[in-house]
Amino acid sequence: MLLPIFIIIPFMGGILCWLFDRYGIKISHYIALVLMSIVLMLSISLLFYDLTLVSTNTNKSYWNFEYEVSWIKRFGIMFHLAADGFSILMLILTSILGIISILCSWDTVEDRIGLFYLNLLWILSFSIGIFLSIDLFLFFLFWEMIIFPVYFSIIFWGHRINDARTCLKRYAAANKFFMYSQCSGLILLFSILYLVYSYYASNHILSFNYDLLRSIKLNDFSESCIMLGFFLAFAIKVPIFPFHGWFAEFHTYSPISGALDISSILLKTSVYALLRFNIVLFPNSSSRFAYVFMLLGVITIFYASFVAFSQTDIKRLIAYTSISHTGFILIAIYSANQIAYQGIIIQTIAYAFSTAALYSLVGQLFQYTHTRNMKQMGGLWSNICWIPGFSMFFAAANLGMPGTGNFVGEFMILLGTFNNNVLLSSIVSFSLIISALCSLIMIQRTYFGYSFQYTCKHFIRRISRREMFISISLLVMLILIGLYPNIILNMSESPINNIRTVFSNFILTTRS
Amino acid sequence: MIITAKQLIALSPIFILVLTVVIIMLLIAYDRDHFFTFLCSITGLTFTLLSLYIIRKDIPIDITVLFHIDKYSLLYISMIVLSSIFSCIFSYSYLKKILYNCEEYYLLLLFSTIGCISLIIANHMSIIFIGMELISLPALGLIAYAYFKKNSLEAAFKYMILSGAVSVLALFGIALIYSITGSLTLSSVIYELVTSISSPDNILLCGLGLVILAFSFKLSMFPFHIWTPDVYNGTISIVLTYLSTATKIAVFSLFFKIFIFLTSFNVEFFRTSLEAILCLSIIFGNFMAFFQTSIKRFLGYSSISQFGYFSVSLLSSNDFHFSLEVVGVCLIGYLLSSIGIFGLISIVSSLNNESKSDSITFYRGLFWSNPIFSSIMTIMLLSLSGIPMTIGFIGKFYILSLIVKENFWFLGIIFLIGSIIGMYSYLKIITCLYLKPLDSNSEMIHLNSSHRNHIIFLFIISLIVLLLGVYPNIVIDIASTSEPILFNIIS
Repeated sequence: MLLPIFIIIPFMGGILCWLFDRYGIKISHYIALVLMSIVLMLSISLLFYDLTLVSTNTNKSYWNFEYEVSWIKRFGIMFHLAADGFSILMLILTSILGIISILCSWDTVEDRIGLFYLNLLWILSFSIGIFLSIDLFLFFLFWEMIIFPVYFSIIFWGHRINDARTCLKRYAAANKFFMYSQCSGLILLFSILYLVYSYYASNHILSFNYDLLRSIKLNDFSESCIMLGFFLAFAIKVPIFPFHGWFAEFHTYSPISGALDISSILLKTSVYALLRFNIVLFPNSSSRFAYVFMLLGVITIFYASFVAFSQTDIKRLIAYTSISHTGFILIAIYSANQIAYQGIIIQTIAYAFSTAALYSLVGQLFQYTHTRNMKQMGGLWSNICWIPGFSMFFAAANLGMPGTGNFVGEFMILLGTFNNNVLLSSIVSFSLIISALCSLIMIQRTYFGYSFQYTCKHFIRRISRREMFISISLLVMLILIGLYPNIILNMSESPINNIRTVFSNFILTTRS
Repeated sequence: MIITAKQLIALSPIFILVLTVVIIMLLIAYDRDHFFTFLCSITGLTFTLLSLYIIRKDIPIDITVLFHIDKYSLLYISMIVLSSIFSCIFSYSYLKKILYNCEEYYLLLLFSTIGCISLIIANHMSIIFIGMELISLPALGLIAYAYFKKNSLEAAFKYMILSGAVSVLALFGIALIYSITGSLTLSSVIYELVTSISSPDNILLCGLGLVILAFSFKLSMFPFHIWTPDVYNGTISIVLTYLSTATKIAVFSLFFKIFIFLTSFNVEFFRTSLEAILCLSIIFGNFMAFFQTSIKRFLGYSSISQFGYFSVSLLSSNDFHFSLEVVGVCLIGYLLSSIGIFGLISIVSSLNNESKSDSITFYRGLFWSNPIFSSIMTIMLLSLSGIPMTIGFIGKFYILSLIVKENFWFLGIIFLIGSIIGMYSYLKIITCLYLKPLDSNSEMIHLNSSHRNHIIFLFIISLIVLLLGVYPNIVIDIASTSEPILFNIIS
């Protein structure tokens, strides 16, 4: 009964925020904050449960927690949630980012606050659903449902300039996101059904259960088809090079406070899904296509960093650099190397933190300068307290400076892939130069140089304690992961290793 | 031929409706009272619904050779009666504005409902023909009911001429069938076909082809859809609530009952023609819906593609029960969401100038003036486009399962393309609801008390749509237990 609570609390909390909105201005802020803190504490408490459970129980199934209720009997669909260390880590990450995004939107969201928090909490609730659901139908349901709160929050609270043209563009961006996600959803649904009916054809059991479907034996052609379907669906959401069309627009027009970008945790859902479903369900065909996907990853890394380099909008720049980081993750996933797999987890978490921090800083900067265009900024270093310094740190973290979690992740991925693919990993390591250049450009154009507009001393603004808290907590976490990554590695080792062994067995057999 | 009391009771849905019609006629002759007529027809329809509960124990039953009632018919009759009840409710406040002759409207509606019911329980080609005419002639009156409106007469003419021509062809088809089988009961026609699988008679195939043509005209499937957008455009929205749900569901239920066997017994001719028709309907309907600026035309085109999707169920090779569920779930979903969306449009059009409230731009920024209204509309549109958590999605899920199960890869691709285009066109309307309203479009939808009741109705329907989307077991149970007895005869 513990697992559904993680989905129900934010879901009901969203409705509460919306209902109690009328009784006070700040009330929904506090409701959202308190509920997400409860979720965070509960998800951290799972870790302690975990240890005791493993020691007492030589568990038959490898899930640490499981919850199962019959749902649609006709298709053998269950309301089936389960969690292992990997899911729990993602759960913790989601709730931390959730709290930060609530804090980010504390002052900046002015109209219909209750509805805003409804959307925000539902995004969190559904992404937690994605991380926990093990029934493929349930997974698909959350995968599709998350589109709506995101869509509505862009439409209602998106980047707003009082100009009819940008308004229409915002709608266009929201529609683009919706359509891309729908395409991804339909492809996913097709592949899931194909998988389920193939299983039905051989075993005469109609079930969407992940644990059952893992054991399926398919012929090469249909396995490749289904695998490509899954991959395509996830690749659109990650996003990977040819399918990234919606991503930059999405970030340009998403709400100013950066709340939504931070909960771009929904990008992490597809990394999770690639690992959890694509690799484990179809190890055979994944290993056959591994080179293609790794190549796609390399293209993504270089393409995204080059495009990022030419951006003038800070937010777009950050968005493109985060696309390039997903390229690293993609390479690591298909390398089937143990060290690289550990790196994925670190990379995912560290980049979630560093980009979240950058987005929140951009949001704060926007309040001050009312622009995101780097050409109109410059010379801000001496005019604002704290923000430039934090930006400097997080930009450095983003380019993978030693001592931060990002370095650990990138290093482990490169080290791991070097073992089985020397050429690719050496090519990829050159991309670090470009990403360093991107970060430097961002800092240099924004904070240094001569400023025409903001030279007056009275612009100096002290950032609030809330903003300080956001930045410092993220900073501390990044350094903590950077200096002592074992906190995460210990937790993720066994589940991620389970996933890897399924896959690497096939890689070994196909290569030898 | 002796008709037992049991058989008479089994026919009670029709008798009750006929009785209601007679009472309304007498009422009109005596004194025109709109409210009383309305009440009378609602009561009649409710009693019809209740009578289904009574005859539930006696089925399956044959009533002479003409009718046959089984669980399958009960499900579809109840769907049709529900749709009639809702169209009556929504019509009332609109008709109140027309100061004269609003009582005959209910008369026509009830006549058409009788036609629908007789079509569903028909077991004989003659009843099929009579039923189809009994649907379309009163429907003609309904389409032309607001004859003072622009396009209304045009729509009626178009419908009359085309439907007349198609009826004649259908009659010719029935005659051809009779010339081969010597009998017009459905079972004998099917028997004839099944026994001559290897080399079916060409004349019989021609006859059945003409009957298919008539059916696909009524369902507005691709090459016979020409009337749909224009008729939808010219008809007042309260009539559309009925026209797009009840008549189509009745025709489709019969279509399904007859033709599921033909495609499954590998009569290649039907299979290919049906496949072509439905693929083209899906693509064409969705594609044309995308370009529409009038919401009624849009719904007309989208209904073309909807019935294209539903017809996929006819292609199943041997698992009839699964197709049965597909059709049941899909049609229940379609019924609920269509009632919802047309109900909303009819509320808007009864408050505003009808021709103006047709255009999609009229709905621009509706959310800002009337959030509940636009959220209901969003839910209905999402359900029609098949988004998760709505009953529409369960239907889509069923159709996709069927496609995957039977390995129709080509159809799958068509479905994918069609639903992506469709999604975009639905999204266009949904986005429109949330745009900032134009300055010229400042009039808001103020609801008076009677409309508030309608909104409560529609709110409940939208809740049902969501609930059934989350917990579809009830619908699945209903759909899977209501199988036509014909299934057993064949298998």
